[in-house]
Amino acid sequence: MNGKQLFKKHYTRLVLEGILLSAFGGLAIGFAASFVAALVAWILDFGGIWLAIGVGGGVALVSGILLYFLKYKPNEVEVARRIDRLGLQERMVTMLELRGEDSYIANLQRENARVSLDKVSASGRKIKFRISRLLVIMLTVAFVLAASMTTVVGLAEANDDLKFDNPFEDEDDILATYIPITYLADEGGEIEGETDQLIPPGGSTETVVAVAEDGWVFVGWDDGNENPDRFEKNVTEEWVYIAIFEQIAEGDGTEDSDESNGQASTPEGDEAEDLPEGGDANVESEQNGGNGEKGDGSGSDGNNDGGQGSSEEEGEGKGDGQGLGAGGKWEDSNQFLDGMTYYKDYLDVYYEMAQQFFEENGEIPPELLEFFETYFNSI
Amino acid sequence: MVTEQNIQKFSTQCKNIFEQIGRDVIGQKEVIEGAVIAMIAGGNVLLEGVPGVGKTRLVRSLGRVFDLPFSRIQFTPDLMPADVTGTNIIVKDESGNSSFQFQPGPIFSNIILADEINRATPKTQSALLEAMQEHTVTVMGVSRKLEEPFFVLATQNPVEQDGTYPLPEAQMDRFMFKIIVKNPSLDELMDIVNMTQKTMAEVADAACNGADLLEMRATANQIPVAEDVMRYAMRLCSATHPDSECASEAAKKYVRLGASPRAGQALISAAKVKALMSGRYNVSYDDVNALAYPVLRHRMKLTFEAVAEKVSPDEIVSMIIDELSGKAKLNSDLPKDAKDKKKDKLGRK
Repeated sequence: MNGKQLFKKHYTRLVLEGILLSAFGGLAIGFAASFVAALVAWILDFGGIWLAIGVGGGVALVSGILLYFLKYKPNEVEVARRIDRLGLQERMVTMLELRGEDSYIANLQRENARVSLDKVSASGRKIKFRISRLLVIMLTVAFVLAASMTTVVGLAEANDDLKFDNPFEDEDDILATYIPITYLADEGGEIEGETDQLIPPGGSTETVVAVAEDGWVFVGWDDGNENPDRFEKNVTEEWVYIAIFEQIAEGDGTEDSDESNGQASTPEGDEAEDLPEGGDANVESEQNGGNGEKGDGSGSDGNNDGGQGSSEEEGEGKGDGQGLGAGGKWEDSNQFLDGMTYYKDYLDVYYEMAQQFFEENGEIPPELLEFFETYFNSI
Repeated sequence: MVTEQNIQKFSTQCKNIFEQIGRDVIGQKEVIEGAVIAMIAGGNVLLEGVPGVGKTRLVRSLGRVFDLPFSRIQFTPDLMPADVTGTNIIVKDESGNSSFQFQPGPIFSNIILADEINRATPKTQSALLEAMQEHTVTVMGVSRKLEEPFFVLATQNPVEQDGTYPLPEAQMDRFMFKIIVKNPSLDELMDIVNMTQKTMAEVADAACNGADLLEMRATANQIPVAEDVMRYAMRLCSATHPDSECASEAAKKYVRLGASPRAGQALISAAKVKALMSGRYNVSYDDVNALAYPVLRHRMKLTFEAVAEKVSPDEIVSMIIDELSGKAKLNSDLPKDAKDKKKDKLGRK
């Protein structure tokens, strides 16, 4: 193998190194471009993962080719320099510079360089690939960034929560894209949960709960929904929901009697109908509402003796038939024990228990008596 | 034009020169090589070493080997310039008329041994300036050409500094090399004592003459230097300047005044000789690096920081080479044997 062939052999090796470096550099630039494309796709919600991959691949290919031809393609001088570093002590570089000369010293130098190159090649020494550490670091960083951003874009396509939330987006743009849903609380309560929500068309709101303050009770929402917990599905238009609360009234007979005087409340009547024996008594109590002062605190008797509470005199004396009426007209505010617990559920149960005990043992257990006493005291 | 005969002659004569000097001077191979390179390249040499290490003997031996007239000037504080250059004296002819006649001083020789040069006053030291650079001597307005080849080989003692006059920068710059002569090793010392027990006289024979030396210089001058290598050598010199565009970090910190352009000339001239002596027909980075120490060490004026931290000029040159080599990616790519050669510096402290 002569000097020219040996030179060519080293040249081929440097071409390989150049291709490797160009590939690394191209990939680094491609990954960086992919990262930028993915970032833009994520922010603008456009294109998605394939845009990032396509842009990255294209840029990597073009920049790799450009890098090879503009930067890493070895020339003769570079090959000579690299061969010299195998221990040829600048013989090859000098030989290249003396290429056009035909002096004795130039020929002597050429011959000397050729012999030295033969010796180096015979020893099996090859030019070592020189991969810049900086290039490897850049490639790694670009790869990690691109992979991360592309993954985010891919996941964002499947999950709306990962979509980009632009803090600088114009309010008008937001309103044009999202539908505002507002939950408000009237006097006497508050809303737990997100009160102002922006929902994409067809989306659902988060659940909110209407909670009454002490002494108040939740009545319902202004749209008729009585469930304190609520959320909206398939939102299509802007809406404001208002939770309505009512104050729980104290059991004041005078006040009640004034308000309910001469007015027979249908709900109360309904309640009365539920009672085993109190149907008539309720009617009576309503009729006797105007005499609430005297009927106050006699509900129990009234219930027990509902059958006898039909006369006005008895009603006045014993409050007969006013157990549920509790001194007057049926109202939401006087149907609760502690503002939250709907007493009738308990009262019915305890009433039946008391009747059962009375029939079996001839007396009512003190706990039940205490319950009834507490109830009547509370209202 | 260099011919095959020139190259062969150069090689043969170099071999003979080293062989003959080796008969008189034991060891000190780096010092001998440096002195011979400087003489072939046409430069002056300053030998620095403690008394008794063979400085004067080496210079005398060089005179014998090159078969050149040799003058020794012992520099003392009372030595006058005219004692070196010569002067005009009044002579009377047969008719009784008086006239001035130039009486040449010891400088009119081919090899000048300026022994303990730093003991003379700056006025006398400066008498050598013109001779060393232009190879001419001017007395009473008349310039006289010195015979070629002309060399000044000066010695100085680095320790006994009382009553001495450190050489000014202008003088220092005219020495191509400053070579540090170290104490001999144990084996060398035994050989020296054994040899001098027989005779103190120099026994070296002439290996070549003045004309041969000039021919060798011309041959070495033809050795090509690649542009990369030339640029590297010039960067090495420029890097010693703290305010140059390619100033090294070491120079910025430790050097107040860097090497002059003469350093670049000396570096390339000497590198060519060294390359040819190595049987190579081109100058390499290794040649330049090895010669950077004797060429640059006396051309840098150090800062107070360097003196305070006891950083020697050789260490600064080392730092500069490392810095430049790092930039040029030389160190990382040099094979191990080349790195070892790089360490083989002339007379490095």
